[in-house]
Amino acid sequence: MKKKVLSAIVLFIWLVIISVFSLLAYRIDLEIFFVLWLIGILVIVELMDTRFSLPRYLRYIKYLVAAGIVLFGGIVAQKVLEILAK
Amino acid sequence: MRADAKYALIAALSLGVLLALGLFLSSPLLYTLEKDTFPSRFHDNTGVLKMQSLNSTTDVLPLMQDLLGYTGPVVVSIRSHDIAQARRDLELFAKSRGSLKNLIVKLDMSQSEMQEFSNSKELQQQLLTELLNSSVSLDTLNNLEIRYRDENNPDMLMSVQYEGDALRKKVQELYNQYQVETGKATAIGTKFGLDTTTEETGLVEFEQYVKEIDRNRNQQDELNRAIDIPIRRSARLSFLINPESGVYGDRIECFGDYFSFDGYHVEGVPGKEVTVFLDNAPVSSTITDELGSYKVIIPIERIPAGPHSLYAQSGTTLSDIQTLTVQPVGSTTTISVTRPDNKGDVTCTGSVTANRPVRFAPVQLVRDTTHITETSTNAQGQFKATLRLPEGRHTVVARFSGEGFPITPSESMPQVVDVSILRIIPAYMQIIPADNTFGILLAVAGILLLFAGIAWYYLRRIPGRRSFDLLMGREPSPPGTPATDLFAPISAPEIEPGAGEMRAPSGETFQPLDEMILARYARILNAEGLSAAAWVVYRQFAGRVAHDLLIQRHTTLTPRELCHSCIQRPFCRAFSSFVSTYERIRYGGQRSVAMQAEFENRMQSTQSELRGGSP
Repeated sequence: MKKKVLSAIVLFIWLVIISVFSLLAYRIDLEIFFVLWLIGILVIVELMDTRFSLPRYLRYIKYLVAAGIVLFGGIVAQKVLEILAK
Repeated sequence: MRADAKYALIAALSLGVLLALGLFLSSPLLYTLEKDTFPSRFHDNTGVLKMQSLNSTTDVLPLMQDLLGYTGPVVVSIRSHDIAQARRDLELFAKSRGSLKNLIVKLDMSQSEMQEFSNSKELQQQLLTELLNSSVSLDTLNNLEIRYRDENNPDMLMSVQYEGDALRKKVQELYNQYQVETGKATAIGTKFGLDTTTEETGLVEFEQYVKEIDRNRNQQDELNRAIDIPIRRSARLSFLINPESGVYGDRIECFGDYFSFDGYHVEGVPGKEVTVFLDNAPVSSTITDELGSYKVIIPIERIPAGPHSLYAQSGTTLSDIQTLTVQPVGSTTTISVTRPDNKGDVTCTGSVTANRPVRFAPVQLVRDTTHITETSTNAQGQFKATLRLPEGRHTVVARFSGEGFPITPSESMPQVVDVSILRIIPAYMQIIPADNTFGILLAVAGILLLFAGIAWYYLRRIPGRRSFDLLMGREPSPPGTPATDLFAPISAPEIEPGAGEMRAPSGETFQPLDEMILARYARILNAEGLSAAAWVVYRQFAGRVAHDLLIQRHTTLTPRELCHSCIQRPFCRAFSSFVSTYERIRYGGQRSVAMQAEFENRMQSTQSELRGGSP
């Protein structure tokens, strides 16, 4: 199976696991969902990354991950503001 | 990161997740109806909502209807002097009210009209209990009044009458409060479609009871006028007060003389103990002086507002009864709360002031309208208490009830205290001061910049590169790479005339001339050895091959991958042989003279093949 297909399947399974546990806990939280998705995709990209070449799909995923990291920074800043506002 | 290390890490993380899941095996339901707290208003537990709607119709309304039916019979029993029945009804009322209160807490309806109904019922219960006690006291006083009237004892009769008047006034106040609370309960009951007839009947009965006790008082006044009061005593005790009315903090001067009749001679009696009574309770005591006079100062402090009887007694001799009228005054309660310390402790200080500081008065510190801490003022009318607050936002209020004082109740302005996690953590760990806006903005900008930097690094990162070299914009050298800048532009004397030029495929700079390859090979061979020289030659050939095959990033390919790529080209055989020798020198560590000769042979053959295949 190609890496590209395998990574998509693994990511899908990871998101299903997150969703199921969120439903079991009666707690649908977009922030938690986003952070767990980011962790999942970081692990997947790290595992499927190649040493000498950079396929186009992997480059696009890396752009996505970079945007996710910036968004994660925004969430961290928001949490800091919430703590300070208390 | 090495591949096996990656797999080890992911395996460790997976094991960690499985272990964490194992901890919840015994109680897999993370949120229960009993512990149902949500971090924001966007989270709702539909199960609880369902139960709320079910219980509000099946449990709450019948309970409310029951409660509406209790108050009327209680008032009727009190009016008919059936004290035992009234007590039983009140007990049932209290039990039923407790059930409603528990249900409201259970269903989390503390902000609803049902909570208001429950509060009204609680107040009604308190008012009816006080009415019951007052009714019992009034009955007792009536009996005493009859007895003293029979005994022709005007002093005790007047004292009892004063107490009776105070009780009647209290019953009138109870009625006024009861009317307000009944109005609230009836309005809410009507809104929910409940029958409030019994509640309204109770109010009417209460009103009749108040009128009844007033009527009794007037009849007794008529009777008192007919009492004959014979005064035959051998000793007399005079008693006067000044002033006859006052407010909180005033000092009432009580004075008089103890004298005896000896025929027509009147003589003061020294050394007699005289006790002054306020509402039949001793308040002060003194001894008559050599002339038989005495004087006592009574401050108005813990004396309720209204008329009070004052008299003096020495042995069996009683003085005349004087009436002291205490006027009520308004009060002001203040509070200030310090910032919470590391443990969440706050110090509440404040004062209770009427026309002057209220001394030794009980003060309630109410936190979030639910938690009450009792304290009291000192001799200067000030109080100080320490509260430990949990994390969160709290409201603290100081309340002076005025009970027992001739002072109206008062409450301070609510003080909001914020006990955040920043307060609880030690001060030296507070990197960002919470009240510094610039610092906060700087911190937020720093966080955003940090994560933007991480994202940038992530995009620029290439596995195998060292981050420092990347940040400096330099490609790091693999081990064994010659220190000489092999790809630097070649100076003019090095370039022989007539040599052709070749452009690198992707910005790769390499020496295009065959002669130059040999010259550089010789120079680096002498300077840094065979391995470095072989690497230089390989890079030159690889550049040519990549150019021929239109490979954009040939540096990412291994020598063998490059060989596989050029398999259909005429120079591939020679290039593969060259790569084989190159690998033995470079990676196999074979640096003998024979190996050098073989390398140079293959280099020349590859060079000639490449020259033939070049455009």
